[in-house]
Amino acid sequence: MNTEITKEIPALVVSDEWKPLAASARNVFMYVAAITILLISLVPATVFVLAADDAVWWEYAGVIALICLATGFATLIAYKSWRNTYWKLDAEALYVRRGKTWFKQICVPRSRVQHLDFERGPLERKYGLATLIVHTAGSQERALRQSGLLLADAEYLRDVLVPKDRRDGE
Amino acid sequence: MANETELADTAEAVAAVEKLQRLHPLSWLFVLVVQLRQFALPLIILLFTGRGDRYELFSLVGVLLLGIYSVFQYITYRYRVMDDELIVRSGVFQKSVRHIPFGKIQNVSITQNILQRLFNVAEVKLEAAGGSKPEAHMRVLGMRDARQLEELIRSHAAVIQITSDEKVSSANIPVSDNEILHQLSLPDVVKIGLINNRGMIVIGAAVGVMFQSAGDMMGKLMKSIFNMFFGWSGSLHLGTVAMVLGIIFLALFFLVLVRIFSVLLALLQYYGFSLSQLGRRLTVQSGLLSLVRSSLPLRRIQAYSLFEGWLHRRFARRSLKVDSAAGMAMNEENKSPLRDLVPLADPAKMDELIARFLASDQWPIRSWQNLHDDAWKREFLLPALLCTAITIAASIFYTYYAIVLLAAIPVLYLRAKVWSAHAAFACTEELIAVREGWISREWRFAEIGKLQGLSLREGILDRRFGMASLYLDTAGARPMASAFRIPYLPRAQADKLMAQLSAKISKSPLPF
Repeated sequence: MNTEITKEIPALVVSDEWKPLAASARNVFMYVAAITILLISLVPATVFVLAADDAVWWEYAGVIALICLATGFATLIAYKSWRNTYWKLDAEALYVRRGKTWFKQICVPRSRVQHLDFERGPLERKYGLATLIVHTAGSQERALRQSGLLLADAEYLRDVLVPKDRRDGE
Repeated sequence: MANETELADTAEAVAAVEKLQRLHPLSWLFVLVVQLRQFALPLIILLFTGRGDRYELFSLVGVLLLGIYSVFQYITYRYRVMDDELIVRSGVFQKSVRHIPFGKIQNVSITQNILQRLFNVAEVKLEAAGGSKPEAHMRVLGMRDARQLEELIRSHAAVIQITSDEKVSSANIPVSDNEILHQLSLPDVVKIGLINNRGMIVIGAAVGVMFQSAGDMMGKLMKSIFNMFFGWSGSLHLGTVAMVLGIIFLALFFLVLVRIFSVLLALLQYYGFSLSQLGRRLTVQSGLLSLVRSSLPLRRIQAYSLFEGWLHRRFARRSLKVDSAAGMAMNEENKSPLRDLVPLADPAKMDELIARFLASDQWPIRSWQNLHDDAWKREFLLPALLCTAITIAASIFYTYYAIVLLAAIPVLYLRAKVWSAHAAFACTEELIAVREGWISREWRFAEIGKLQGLSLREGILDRRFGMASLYLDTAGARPMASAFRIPYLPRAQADKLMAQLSAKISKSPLPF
């Protein structure tokens, strides 16, 4: 029995309030950011180790310090993005607002939603989260992609935005 | 079921096409031609540089195999017209049967290149809404068959529209005659060529290809041209000034040549351009050697882009492009002409046409509103900072003369001022519009009901001025086009506008 899911009560309601992302999503965002940076930095790091035959100890330390700095920075950005993301479902549209310095507010009118996708990575599955992808007829590939929602919230959004009779193949 | 009386005119056509049809007997030739075209340039270069007999043999074998395959493709392609759908059977190894309901077909395009004109055949493409690949692509049909098919689909679509849409059946639709809305005269086509300067692009591409495939040969050619020119001018003992003049003269000569070439290209594409309307469907037809003809239902138009460049202003003309949801068919040969709905027209005629397309009195817009008061500062700040940074970097690392780059700053200031004087937006009952530009002017607008999504963006610089930009998402926009957005609005106004638009959108149902 996974107690982490029952800790948080999903929103499940159409209202005018802005809702934050799931609390458990914070750690997920930060893990993902850290792992991504570490994986990316493996490439230049191995190149450096292989190429530098006569490197001094402090050069190695410098590279490691750089990688640590990058990881810390990425984790901080992930935390900030988790903190500053809110969403809202009201009678007209689904809204998502992101960021403070670079602010973006997306509005997907309910009457324009064509279909919805879920994506759940291994960490998301463990913590009961999901990434919601909303498609409209607009020119971008997808109108909205938002991670860090509780699975129950994501499913509720799908039920509300794409009623069962419009869905095909489910 | 479709109204039999309405189909009385095309009853003949229906009877004629009801059996299973093959494509035109010469189809294999045209498929082969298309395949060859992709290999033509490398083949020619290969033949000229003559790398050896083995390669020539391979290419000949390749051509033979392609020929056999295209014959098979022709033999296995069959189609049949039913009451309300088209059945297509195709495939050499993997057979496929497709049922395409007429209601799904949004665009019928008939094209002919020179070779096809000679044999009186045409390619027919049937496109559905929102898809980028055509539902059916017939290469080739006899011209009569193609016209019959087009007429059949059009009459079916018109009937379906009438019987399914209550509002429409009570209105007065002119179904009788094709009404010609706009035609381009020869002077207009020449003007188009001078304005769009496509010759430059074609020559640039050709030069690029030549350099890629025959690099050292091109290098030797360039060197010999240079030596010839400078040797000649050197022998005249004219000195630096004359050489500079010579270069300028050569450049001007080249520019004139490119313009003439552009005019020729425009003639090829736009000669005999005619835009007509039948009921709620627009048809565009143009082309000198290759005839291209496409149709588009009015309600498929998603967004409009009206443009007036510097040369446009000299000629007192404007040009209109539209985004349509009937698929962005970027195929090997030609782009859909429905993007260039009205390539050139004088401003009054253009406004009349737009009002007609929109079927409302909302255009031309009278209630333009200004952007943020400090919009010019925001438009000036970023480029000015960039320019300063580049100047400083260049002066330190290259030469102190780079200081002269700072002369761009007053130009940027002028640009920002003129730009923000002209920049405005408008939100009327049915339309959302934005206009921009300093040397060229551009108007982008769309029916609010056609919007698919909104997003409000505020960057660091925007925050400093208290501004935000509102991005509008529509269907069918070109991926490379500039975004449809209202820039530099006061934040509060942007929020209000977003809420307003969202409310309006939710009142209008899905356009498709």
